[in-house]
Amino acid sequence: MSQSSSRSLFLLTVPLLVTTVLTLLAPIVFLFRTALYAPEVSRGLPRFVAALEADTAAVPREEVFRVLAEDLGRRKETFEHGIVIKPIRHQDLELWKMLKGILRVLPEDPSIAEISSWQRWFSEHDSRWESANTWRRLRRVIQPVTDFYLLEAMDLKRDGENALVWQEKEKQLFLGVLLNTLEIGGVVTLLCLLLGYPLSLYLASLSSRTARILFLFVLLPFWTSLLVRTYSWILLLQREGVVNGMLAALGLVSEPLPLMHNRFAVYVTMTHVLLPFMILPLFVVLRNIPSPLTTAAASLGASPWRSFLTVTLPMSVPGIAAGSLLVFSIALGFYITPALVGGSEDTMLSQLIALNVNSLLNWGRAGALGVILLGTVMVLFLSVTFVLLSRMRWNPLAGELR
Amino acid sequence: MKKRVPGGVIFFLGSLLALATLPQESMADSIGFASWGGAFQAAQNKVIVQPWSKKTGHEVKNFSYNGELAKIKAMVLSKNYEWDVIDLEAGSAHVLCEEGMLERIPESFWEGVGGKALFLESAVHECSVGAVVWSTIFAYDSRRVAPEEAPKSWKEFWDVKKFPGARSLRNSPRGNLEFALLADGVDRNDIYPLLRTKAGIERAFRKLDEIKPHIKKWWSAGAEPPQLLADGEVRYSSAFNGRISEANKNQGQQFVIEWNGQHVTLDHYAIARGNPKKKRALELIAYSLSASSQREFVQEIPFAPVRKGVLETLPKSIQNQVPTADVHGYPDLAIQADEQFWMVYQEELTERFESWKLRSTAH
Repeated sequence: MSQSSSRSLFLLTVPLLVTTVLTLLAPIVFLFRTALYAPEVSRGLPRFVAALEADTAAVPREEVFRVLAEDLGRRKETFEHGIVIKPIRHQDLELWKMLKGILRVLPEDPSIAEISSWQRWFSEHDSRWESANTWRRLRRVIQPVTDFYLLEAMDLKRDGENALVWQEKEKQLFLGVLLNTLEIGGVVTLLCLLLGYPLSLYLASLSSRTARILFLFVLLPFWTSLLVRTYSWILLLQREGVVNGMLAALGLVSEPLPLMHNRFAVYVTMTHVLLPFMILPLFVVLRNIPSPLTTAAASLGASPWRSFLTVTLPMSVPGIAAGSLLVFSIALGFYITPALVGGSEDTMLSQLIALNVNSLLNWGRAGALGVILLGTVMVLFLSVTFVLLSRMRWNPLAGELR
Repeated sequence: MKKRVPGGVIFFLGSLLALATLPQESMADSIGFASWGGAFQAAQNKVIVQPWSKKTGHEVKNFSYNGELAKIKAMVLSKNYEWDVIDLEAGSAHVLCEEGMLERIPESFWEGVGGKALFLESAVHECSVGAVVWSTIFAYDSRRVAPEEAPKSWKEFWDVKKFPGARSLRNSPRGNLEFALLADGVDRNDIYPLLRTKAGIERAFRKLDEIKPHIKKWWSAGAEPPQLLADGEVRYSSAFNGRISEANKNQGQQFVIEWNGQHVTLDHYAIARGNPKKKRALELIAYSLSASSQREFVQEIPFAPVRKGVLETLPKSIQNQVPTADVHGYPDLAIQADEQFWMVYQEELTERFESWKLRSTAH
């Protein structure tokens, strides 16, 4: 191939490159940014933040109180006070309520208000403004770069001395949900593998005509909307659903089995939805294992079971790895299915991300949760790749044939 | 490769493709009206949107959504306003207002519609205008539970010995904490003062602990409770009153609403901040407040009007379907949602609620 044609081939990939940057890399950068960077306070109250940083006293002098009043007054006038103090609300609700209290009573234009001592004015409204504790906390929450959201996403926080401590018990949430998410992802991957491997093996052994027809059944659900598939499982598994109806009609159960709105339902539905993602890569790899290899194994006296264990299985490892990674990483991002078919203890991380993005509007926390999820997937992906690569070196046959 | 396609052309086509996926500017002259879909938006469309459109000649495009606030925030940040008039839960409207994401409602607007005094206090807000009054109640299917054998209060809803069967509640602390305190014997007037204390929150969650093993499903979408009841998946469920009436009216269900202890709140209309069509959007909102469209709306769907004195002009049969009818014990047996409380504590309590759900109840 000439150089110019390889250049035009490269140009063909430019749209994909642009799309990847726009839809994948840019959001990831944005994700990290929202998780770590909350510049609203320092940008919205610039003179106050500068004055407070210049003043090292435990309770600052009059000047700092005055510029705080003026900066807040200016933001109140343009109706931007809410967004400016929002990061404080996330990090320290009490402090936020104190600032809201000040905003409520602030005179129209503080810079021309006849107030001799702003310090006294602040403490008359709320004596906590005199306390060093208030100012120590305030100094912390005005920082534009913060690890608060990331720590929060790991159920950690900083105490008064800036040391890392666990969140109070009744607020601990995110690690539990992360574990839930990994557990659900892991079990679903395993189920997909257990169901998908024999099927792929069977499909790979068929003539391509038959395989194509049977593949239609694998792909058919693939083309159906996720919601429709989820709802059909609800119809099947609910208390008065098809399955319980049949069991009752056969006299096998006297009480309907609890099949819906629990972990079992989450596993069944997600496995059904994700199964094609396991079968497709497995099928491709299994199909490409040269059949003379198994024939050779048989002619050398290997039982079918032994030939499977020593030839087919090792050679299908790349397919297992690809399918499992695909299923696992897609499973980690599920949130509609567990919300519809799960019970109270089946919350997955993406549900909390959606909650924070859509209803609570806490994008900092959502970003941090996204970073945690992304980090987990990356670590898993890299370790599987590493294991696989070292395995390839160890298994020369598989390495050569690829 | 005989005939080479010039790289520039490929690049151009690729860029075009990328551009096509970017959001389109909404039509310059039409108004986007976003609401919750279903029978509710159909009623809004029939009574408010279409007549206004006919009267003024402005085209109105309907959008439905599920209360996701991110979209509104994104519109403000990108200055790309697809929705001009947005129907929001009052609590959400107040949160967005607090964050400076909504246009403020000018005094002149209220003067133009006859003065604030003509409307419920809860319908007048800095950034939004009341649309309807609705409530969260609990309901059951009378084909499965005879009304005389059903719980008559939240206290009885909690009593699983006397009233056995699975329950469902909303997947949010909002409303549930109030119901829990009511079930625990707290007077409805003391609920929010109590919830503003640490002890009150503890008490509410402790009461929720009792019912948790019997909650089969924490529902998120308003359409879920009627489905759960119809399928017999749960026996009693909290629900939005409009969804229950809708199922009775359109799907032939025979659900019964227990109004005792209803949690009353509003929907508000709001305009995203910086929207260049604010003036026209306000005209549409003003139209919705007229006595005639308020009266017509109640007849379409049983939500109470925000304009005072409208309900009284309607026949008793219609009056008695709305949450604020005196046959439902309103206001003595109702909890009026404290939006200020939820504006401040929604986030903290939601986190705690999620954490509470995750932990098993056995202490």
